Amino acid sequence: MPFPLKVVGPGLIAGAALAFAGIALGPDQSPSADTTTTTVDETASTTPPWYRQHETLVGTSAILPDALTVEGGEAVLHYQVLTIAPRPTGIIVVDENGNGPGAGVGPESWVIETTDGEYPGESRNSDVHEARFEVDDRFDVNKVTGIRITRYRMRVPYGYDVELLPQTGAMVTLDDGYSMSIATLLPQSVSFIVHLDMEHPMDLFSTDPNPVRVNGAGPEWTTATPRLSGGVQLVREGPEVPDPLVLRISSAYWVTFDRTINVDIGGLNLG
Amino acid sequence: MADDPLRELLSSPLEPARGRGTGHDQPKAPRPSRASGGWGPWLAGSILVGALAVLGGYLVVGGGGDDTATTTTEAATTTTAVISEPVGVLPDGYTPVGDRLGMKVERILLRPDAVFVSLSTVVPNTLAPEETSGYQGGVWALILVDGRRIENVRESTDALAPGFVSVEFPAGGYGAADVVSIELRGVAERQLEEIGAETVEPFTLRDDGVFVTAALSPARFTLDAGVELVFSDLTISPTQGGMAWTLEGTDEKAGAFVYPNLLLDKGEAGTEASEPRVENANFGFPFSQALGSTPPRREGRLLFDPVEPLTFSTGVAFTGRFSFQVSWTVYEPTTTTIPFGEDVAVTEVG
Repeated sequence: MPFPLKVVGPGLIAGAALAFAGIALGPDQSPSADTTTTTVDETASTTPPWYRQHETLVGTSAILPDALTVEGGEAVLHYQVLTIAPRPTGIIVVDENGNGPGAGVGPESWVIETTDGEYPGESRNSDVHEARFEVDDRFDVNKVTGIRITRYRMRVPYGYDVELLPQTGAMVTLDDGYSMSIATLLPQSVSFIVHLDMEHPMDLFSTDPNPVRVNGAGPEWTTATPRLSGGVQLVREGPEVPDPLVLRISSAYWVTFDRTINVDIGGLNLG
Repeated sequence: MADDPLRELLSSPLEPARGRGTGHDQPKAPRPSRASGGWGPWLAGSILVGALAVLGGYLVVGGGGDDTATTTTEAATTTTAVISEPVGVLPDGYTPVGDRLGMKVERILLRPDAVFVSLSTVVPNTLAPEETSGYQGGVWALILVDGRRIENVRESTDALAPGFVSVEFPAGGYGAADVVSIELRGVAERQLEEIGAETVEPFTLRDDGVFVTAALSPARFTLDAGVELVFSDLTISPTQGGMAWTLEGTDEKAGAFVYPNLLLDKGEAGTEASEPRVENANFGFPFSQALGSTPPRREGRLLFDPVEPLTFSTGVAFTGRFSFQVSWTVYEPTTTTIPFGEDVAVTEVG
């Protein structure tokens, strides 16, 4: 049979036309940005929570907003900070109520978003789980569209040795705003005393009065006691002064993280 | 219409088949060969080819088909994994370390004398945090963009900062932008053993306070996993004793803590006790509630102060009787690589 060009040609054209029509009239399943976002949200919504739905993860904690109220020109956000970190290892010091260390994370700066504008606010310190926002007469909790954290703290441990020349004024920078220097060297007949000045930022967010602890490195260093001036006195056995002085630092101060995190307010009681 | 090619293709199967007898129609005369059903397959095939060509082209040029399929597959995979296996879900940015822990680099602190990388640790969402054993320690290496590996000096944790660990690296020749990732070999095994030893020969302390030396037997203990603990000789005077220990063996990463006890045995005359001092195994300060930790070490020094009586006796033949509690650690042969994310906080001082 000869190749039926007069039949095949229209057939190809007709098939193409049908295919185009099918593509044009069929449902659009292209991966638009909205579709992708929806997929991510769907995934997030199916993730089992650590504590409850509508929690917001910040570092090693889950932030649970409880209530937003207005009190005398201030909006007050009450929230919980619950840990998602594993149980601490080593020796745990508990308070008089039997509570161990907190979550090690603390939101510090917030912004409430409303249909009328935004209202910045602050959490006073790491122990008080409420944030206060100065608001005006237009503020209405029913107009709140979102809340975001713009700054939070994490309590970061640092343990290390530093070397200092054994002379008055010798100084070492430990971190941004943190330093240590030798105030006095007092050789004794059978021991050796070092007075250290400790500098650290005036941090109102932290409730720890001694964010940096120091002792000498080695079993010859017998005591480390606070000085009234805010520094530390160290005693080392033996009259000789080692060069350099090897001191051991241990600290767990609150480090600032300027990161924005949108808070899930689905479980927030607006009243 | 009978010759309309589309009509033939699109006719319903319920319609009387053209060219087929129904029993009611009169048999028709055979068509001419060029217009008979012999061209039907050509026509149907050509339409099918045309449609396939267009559809194929549409998919190949990325009319949404391929990307849609890929994206949908990936999203579906993720969603399915979350739903079907909720145990093990970690927050965004966390790298699994084992099956019960996730870690994320939070901060890098660069000082002239050292570099510190701080990480946070979390548990998967179906585990109760307070009931979950956390990070047990490890040895670390910084991986730089040029391929260099920087081995860690030590790591630190603190009970006041639950879930966080900082790792110290030597400074020099690299900045935060040079770091690609951090590599962890976690603790594989941690054991506690109690061992004993005594001085080989009796020794007598001198009235002039000069130290005397006494060897131990045994002085070398094989712990496990290629770890050997070696003690130096005891040097001792009436006011203090001292000795050192080191780890030896094939595993260069292994570490230990040694908690000693020493009794000076003078036979029928009884014993004299000492109080040991170790190399600051833990940070404990009378003015602070905080307790940090130090990692296992490769070496250490031990001091023994007389407590009863306040000075060790002189002119008496002693045998030193030791007992050591040894906590030792070995690490996994495999590593976990934790990337440096874009949100790592960088602080440079000095």
